Amino acid sequence: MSILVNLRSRQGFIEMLRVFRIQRFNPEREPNQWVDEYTLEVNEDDKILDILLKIRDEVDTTLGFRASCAHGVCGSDGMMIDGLNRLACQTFVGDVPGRKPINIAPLKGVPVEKDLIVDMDPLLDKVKSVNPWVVAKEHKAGERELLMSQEDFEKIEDMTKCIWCSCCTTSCPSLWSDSDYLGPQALVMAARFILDTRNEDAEKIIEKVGGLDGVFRCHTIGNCTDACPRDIDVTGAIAAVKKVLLQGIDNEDKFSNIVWEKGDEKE
Amino acid sequence: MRYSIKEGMLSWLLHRLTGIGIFIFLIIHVMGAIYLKIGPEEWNHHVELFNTPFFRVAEVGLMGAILWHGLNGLRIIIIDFSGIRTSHFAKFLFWIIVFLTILLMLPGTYILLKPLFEGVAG
Repeated sequence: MSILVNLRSRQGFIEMLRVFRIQRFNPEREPNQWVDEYTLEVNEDDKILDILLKIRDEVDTTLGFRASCAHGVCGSDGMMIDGLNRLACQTFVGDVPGRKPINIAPLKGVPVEKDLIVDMDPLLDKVKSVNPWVVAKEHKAGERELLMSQEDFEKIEDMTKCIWCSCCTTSCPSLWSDSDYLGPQALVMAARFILDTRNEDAEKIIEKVGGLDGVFRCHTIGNCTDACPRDIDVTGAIAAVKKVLLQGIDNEDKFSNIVWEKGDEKE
Repeated sequence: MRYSIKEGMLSWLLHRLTGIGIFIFLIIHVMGAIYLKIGPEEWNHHVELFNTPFFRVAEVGLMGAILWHGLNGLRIIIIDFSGIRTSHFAKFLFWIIVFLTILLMLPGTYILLKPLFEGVAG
């Protein structure tokens, strides 16, 4: 859709005035929270990040936000734009249709440090808490690297695209109401390393995500899937973890001593 | 500035609210049983309370809450375990359970509220 918007505006150079309402926060000011409005002449194919940079450079130098690569790879400029979590560098002015003001606010459910900058540590600690890494089995003599089959990789390919922007976790109402909930991002990582056939320590991950604040706090709301800038099926990944917890996984040998008995497992 | 509310979030919100509502009902329901211990007169008086117009309307709400909470639980199970992974399907199921909740409420609402209007007519 953004490509179409690009072409149209390049042909006609549609310049228009749009209002940007940005939620501000400064712990040293009283009141420490307020909303600023900026009216700018913009094109439909201007990125929100470019507009934030323009505001910071030309209008208000106190505006704080994170951005690094500006090409949707580093995942540092996640914010709430027009009521949805997205990357500012991947969202165009034309993505918010009409002439209404564009609301920009920091990610929800985490402490704000300054304007659009939030404290990511609690979220990243949650991801680390599920052991998102491969614990490899011992190498056999002559074996140079651990391989997995093409089919096995296709199962987890979607989840390996995660850029840790936390747009999914901070769009989750379950997390807003229970800050101890692991959240979609940690559960995607859990799914990715549970289903990774090279990982010998999947039982540990399963133990961690099966608790009270684990995978069953997910109510399949779907905000995370809508928010993901990499189009990962986040709710689907969480559903995969739920299935592993309830049914066990295809690899019986590896998962025989965890989760509930499947009955006649070996056909 | 709030997050935009879509079907999934609405279902979660209603699930929470109905959950709290059902919990409050259960407290009233279980505490009401204390009247059994106090005496038959008091128990009858307590049960009469549920015949008042206020409680009859409230019971319609209770029925809706239980239906929504139960059906939405089934919806979550279906989304997770059916293997159909599209947001269209989730939204479709949302409107299906809205429809089912209203449909299943109709006969109960009729039975619960009928005496009220009879009272007015008589």
